[in-house]
Amino acid sequence: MKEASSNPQDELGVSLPGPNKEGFLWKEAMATGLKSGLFTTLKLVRVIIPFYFLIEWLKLTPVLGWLGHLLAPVMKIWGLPGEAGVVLVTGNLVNMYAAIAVMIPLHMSVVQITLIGLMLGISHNIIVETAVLKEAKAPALRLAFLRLISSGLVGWIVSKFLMGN
Amino acid sequence: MASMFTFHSLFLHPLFGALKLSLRLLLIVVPLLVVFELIRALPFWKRLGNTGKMQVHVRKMGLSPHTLVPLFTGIFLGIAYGAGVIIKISREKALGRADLWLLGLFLATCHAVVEDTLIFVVVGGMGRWIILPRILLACLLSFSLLIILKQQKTKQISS
Repeated sequence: MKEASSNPQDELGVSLPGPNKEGFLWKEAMATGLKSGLFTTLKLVRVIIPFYFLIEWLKLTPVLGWLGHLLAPVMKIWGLPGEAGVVLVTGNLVNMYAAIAVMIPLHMSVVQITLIGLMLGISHNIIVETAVLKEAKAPALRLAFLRLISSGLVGWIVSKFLMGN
Repeated sequence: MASMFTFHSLFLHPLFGALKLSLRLLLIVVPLLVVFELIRALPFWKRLGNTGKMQVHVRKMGLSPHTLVPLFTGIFLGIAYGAGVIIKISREKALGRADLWLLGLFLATCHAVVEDTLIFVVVGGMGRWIILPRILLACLLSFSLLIILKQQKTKQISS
């Protein structure tokens, strides 16, 4: 997310767990959770609406069919339809919520949703998260490659389990 | 084909779909963050800081105690806190190279597992096939790195 680089403590008005407070302040905690939950949902909705519209509109044109046809040979590795490639690319370049907004109008099966969820779970939002890891001085580029490769590999293994060869 | 481009197909249908999806996500995100905040508010964390028992365990894993908070936050969710907390801690506590590598490797493949899995379960995925392979992968990778780092250390001492 864009806000990732700013200080979450100031932004959300919460503090990290630590020995600075007395007792179990559950009322405060629930209020904080509720507030940041609504705040976060608002951020997600701003991503979901444009991507949902985009894919529904593309469905009315032949473009999605062309893309699916183009990606089909690659997606075959995981036993997924070509259109699933659009979901994976969106998830990696933008984020998980954009990917879900793209996935829902495509009406995937349970196994397909599971595989996409697993693969996107391992590698998603690569551009922003690589920048974040770089800022934290972790070996960001190498980790990004590792995520993409292991996402493909783990997805391939699990697809064998879920689809029975 | 012109009849496909109606007000309904162009605006109403996508709008209702997007709003329905947003509502489903609201119903996951809000309770998840409330539970997360409740866990963080538990006095358990205070006791942890005092006794330092947990810190011994964390050390055994090859991590310094400062990595506990970003690790917990990172595993739980990525939406609102994960990345920001990691940056904050790494700035404030000056994490060592081994810490950053281990934490980065584990979290790179296994962050926000609770959140990510829940959102895919709600839209129809099978939860255990989404969460378990990820955790397994992260543990496997981190364990391999830990062994490599330990070998490097013993090499440095012996040479």
